[in-house]
Amino acid sequence: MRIFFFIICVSLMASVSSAPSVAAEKSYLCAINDVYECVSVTGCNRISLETANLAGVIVLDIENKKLKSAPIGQEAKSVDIENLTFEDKFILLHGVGQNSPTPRSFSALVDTETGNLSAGVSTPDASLALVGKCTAQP
Amino acid sequence: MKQLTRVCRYAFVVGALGILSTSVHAAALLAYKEGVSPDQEKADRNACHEWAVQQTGFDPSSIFQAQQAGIDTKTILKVTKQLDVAAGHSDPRWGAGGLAGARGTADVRRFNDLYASYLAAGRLCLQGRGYTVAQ
Repeated sequence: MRIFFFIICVSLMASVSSAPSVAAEKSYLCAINDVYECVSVTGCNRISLETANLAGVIVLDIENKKLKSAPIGQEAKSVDIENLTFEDKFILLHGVGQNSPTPRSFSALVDTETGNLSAGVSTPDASLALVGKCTAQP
Repeated sequence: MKQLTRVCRYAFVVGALGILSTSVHAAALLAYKEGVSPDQEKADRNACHEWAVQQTGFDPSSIFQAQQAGIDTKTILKVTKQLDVAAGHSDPRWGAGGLAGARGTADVRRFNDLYASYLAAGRLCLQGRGYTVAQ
């Protein structure tokens, strides 16, 4: 009987420790706190979310590999995440976007322990640097 | 004073220009022509809208309808945002969700320059049709 309980305990511990910490989370709700625009010569300046055409909150849908935004009173928009990888406690992603007439590339890293989000958007004219905070949505 | 009242009564905001990253300036085009009927003025404005689009290659589409529907047209960004909503969020000028549609001030500036060109063409057209256009 003792051996039986021991085996159960060991197998439970093994399953908990081997499970990736992010696998259980289907999505993350991320608030964008600051956006900086960096250009050559003049450097980086803080810009508003409205200027950057960004919603204050975005959803990282890991299950469907999509990045969504849903400004209040508007329907959600989404874009496919081209690459989504998990490294230790970090989620890394990359995708391609469009703000007519030019394309743009975006990438982000989420620390699943602290919730810290750091992201970047590359446009033909500038590089946008974003920082924020994410919360897991089970 | 009576004429001024009439100008205000018939004044029709063609558009307004605003939003740059750090400064906001708005300017409205008001047009007045003695003796013109509201229908004729509307027809002239529509014709000038089409001409301005042809000249500049930029169409802030449905701006007239937006104004008539009571949408705030103070800035081109507000106009296009409302149009994007009306189009079921399919307007490519607003891009996709998440970070995909993010833009910088150069994008905004380019957008506003196009709108300024459109307004300038519209102003010339209205003046050519005998309207007094104030900014």
